[in-house]
Amino acid sequence: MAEHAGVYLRLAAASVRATARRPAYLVVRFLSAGMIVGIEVAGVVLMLDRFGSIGGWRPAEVVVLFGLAFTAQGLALVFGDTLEADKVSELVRRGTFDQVLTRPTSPLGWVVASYVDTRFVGRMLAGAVTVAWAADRAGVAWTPGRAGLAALAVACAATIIFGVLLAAAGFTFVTVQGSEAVNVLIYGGQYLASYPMQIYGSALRFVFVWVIPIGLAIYVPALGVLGRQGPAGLPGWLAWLSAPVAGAFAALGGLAWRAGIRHYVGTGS
Amino acid sequence: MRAYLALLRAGFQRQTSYRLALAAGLLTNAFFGVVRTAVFYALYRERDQVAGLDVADALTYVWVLEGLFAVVWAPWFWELAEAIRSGEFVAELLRPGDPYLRLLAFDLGRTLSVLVTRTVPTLTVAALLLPLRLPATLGGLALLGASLVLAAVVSFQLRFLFGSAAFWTPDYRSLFMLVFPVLWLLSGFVVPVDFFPGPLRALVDWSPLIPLLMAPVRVATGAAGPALATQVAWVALLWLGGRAVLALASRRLVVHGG
Amino acid sequence: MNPHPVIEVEGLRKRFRTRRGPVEAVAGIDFRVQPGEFVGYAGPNGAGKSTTVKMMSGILLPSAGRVEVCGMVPYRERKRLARRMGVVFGQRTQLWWDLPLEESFELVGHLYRIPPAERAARLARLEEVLALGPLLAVPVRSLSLGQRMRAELAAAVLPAPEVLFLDEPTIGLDVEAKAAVRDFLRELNRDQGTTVILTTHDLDDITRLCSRLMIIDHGRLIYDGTVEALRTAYGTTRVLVVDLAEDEPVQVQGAVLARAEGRRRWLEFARDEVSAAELIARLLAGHEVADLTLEEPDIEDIVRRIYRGEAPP
Repeated sequence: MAEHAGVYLRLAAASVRATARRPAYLVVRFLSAGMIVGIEVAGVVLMLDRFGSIGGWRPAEVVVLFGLAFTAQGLALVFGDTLEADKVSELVRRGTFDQVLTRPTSPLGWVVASYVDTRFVGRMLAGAVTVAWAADRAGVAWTPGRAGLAALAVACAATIIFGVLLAAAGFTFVTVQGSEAVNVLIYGGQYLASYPMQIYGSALRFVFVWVIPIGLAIYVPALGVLGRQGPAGLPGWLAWLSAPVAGAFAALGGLAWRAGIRHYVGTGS
Repeated sequence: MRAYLALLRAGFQRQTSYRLALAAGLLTNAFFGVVRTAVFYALYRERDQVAGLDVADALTYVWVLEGLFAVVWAPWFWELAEAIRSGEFVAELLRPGDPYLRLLAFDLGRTLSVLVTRTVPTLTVAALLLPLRLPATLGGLALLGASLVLAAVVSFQLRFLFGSAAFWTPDYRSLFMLVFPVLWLLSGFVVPVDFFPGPLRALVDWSPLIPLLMAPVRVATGAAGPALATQVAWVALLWLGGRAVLALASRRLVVHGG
Repeated sequence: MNPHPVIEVEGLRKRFRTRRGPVEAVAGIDFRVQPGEFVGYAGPNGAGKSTTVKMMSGILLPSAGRVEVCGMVPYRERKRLARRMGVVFGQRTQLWWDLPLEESFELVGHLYRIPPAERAARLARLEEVLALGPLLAVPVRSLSLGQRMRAELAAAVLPAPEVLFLDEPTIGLDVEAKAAVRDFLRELNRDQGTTVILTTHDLDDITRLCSRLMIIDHGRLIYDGTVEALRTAYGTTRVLVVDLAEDEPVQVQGAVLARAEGRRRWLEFARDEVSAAELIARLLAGHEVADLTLEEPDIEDIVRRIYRGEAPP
């Protein structure tokens, strides 16, 4: 993979150049992706300000979670949007994937690099601005450690979302017909991780901390950023566990992707 | 009349045939509904009433929202605009009868299918498991049903207006992409409009976005009369608006040949 | 010379499970292709053509049997084989749709790790042969079908593959564009020694280009040999076209008058009953002839008859 990095960068650059041929449309998509974050955050701020707090967290602290979750999701979708079920089944139906298999590259590298979606950079940036703004309102004193934790949260959550997308894409090779059910994890997971985990029932919390650990990846590092104590069972040092957990999760997604390709090569479209 | 009813049925059957999408949709609604429910329970832990809503009102809002999601933001949002751009829509204008009514009949068929297969099951299950505030009488439930159908009609009427932007600009998608987030917030799909600051809320209450979600919520939670009246008034106004746009568009088609 | 065949296929099978039960798309085929051969691969729709090609190019795993291309097992060494193999699927593009054509060539150069100087040299030659010069700055989406096919071929052969798989490369092209594509392929095969496997419905492509023809039907190879041998084996009747010096009735023993037009006569005869030389001798004995030509049976007609299941005599 490493020796190919240059090739994949070139493919990604080509896909960006291709979309940039319609700059106005690109700008609009970019803005719209960012606006969705702004609007969602604005609504939540209006609501939380009326209540004053949720699960003992102040509105600004919750909004830090929103920002981290949006940033991570945007980052994952820049590379992973093309792995969504309907897009993969489109690649298969049109025979594009057959051609990808005749290239001297990894199919995953090819697909991801060739369909980079810059519009989600808008979501990522809006998420990052949200984090900065809300952290300021929450009175966070930034230290290198805290910034590192925020970056860790984004990287790990994005890796987990990407792993979900990979697994879903692998599954799509088997079913061919895409199912949007996975969007629950991509969009629903982001929404769920935007609130402090203690507000959820134990079943929901268990699933999103330990099974699809997006809650773990956002929430636990955020505790450190905000200088808060976590509830029992979620000590602060868990933040450092989220990196290997996210890596393992993405690796599982990768295995599912490979299994999907093996199935595809075994049966054809 | 028979022709319009046939279209209504065709729309209903078309939408009902997407089984896999239906299952995925129900799952999505259930998931978001559960998360939102948890959020409101947490918010109301120390408060009984905020901005005139108590926890039962808020939960009702959550599940009406999940039920109406696919009605208002219909997955076939762009079909009209695409038909206009491809020129297919011209044939629609030339056929005998009323094109606006035909489009409405087919679209309403599809949204009714969504109401039957998604909205009603979602609301029913939620009402069995959670303390929602739904009408206790048959008459009240009938009013809620009427309000849901009116929401579907208004959603068509607004989709029609957005879709017909394609008569004037090929960049209708760009236009909508910039407007969509704002509509999303103002129609109450992020949080109930009751939480908006006073002036904004007053403004939104007079907009055609109210019939989409907040009016059915209000019909369910008790204030049926005014909410239904708002919906009916907007159906009438948007009807006139839609016809005016259609007339302008037809004239433009005749003059410019599409 | 390389003593090994470029392609070796042995007992190759592919079964698919479908809703109507299992289907054997390829039901045990064997063949070898030597370096430099130009093989036409024909067969009716659904006969197993593209399934075979997919197995040879590593897109599809065989259910049974052996396939080796350039000494490699395609599905196991997919990436390594990809460097030595070119593929053109007629109806799909492998170029970058929204970018100027020259960027596609540049990307192909990087993908296949062609040294820049080498790439420039090869590209210069391809540009000349395929008349690509004026197209380089044009986005691929704006190319005509004929222009695009020339560009596809250039991109496929830019890495100098040993084997080139072509699937319907002339479909939908006009006469001129077809001729350009055929000329290019003929020269590529002759000058570079590239082995070409050409899948096509257009038998004209095959008769003009291929030294060898394989026909597959219901998953089995029903013919593998030269185009000429096919004519001899299946084309039982030949036609002698005669321009007579005078308009007169003609009767020759061993031939049937198939058509008459002015002073021209079409005489059909069975190749195993009478030789052309004998027939001409008999004809010249009784008539004054201005000109004559011998027409071989129409290959398309023969193949159609084979598909219909008519056995050779």
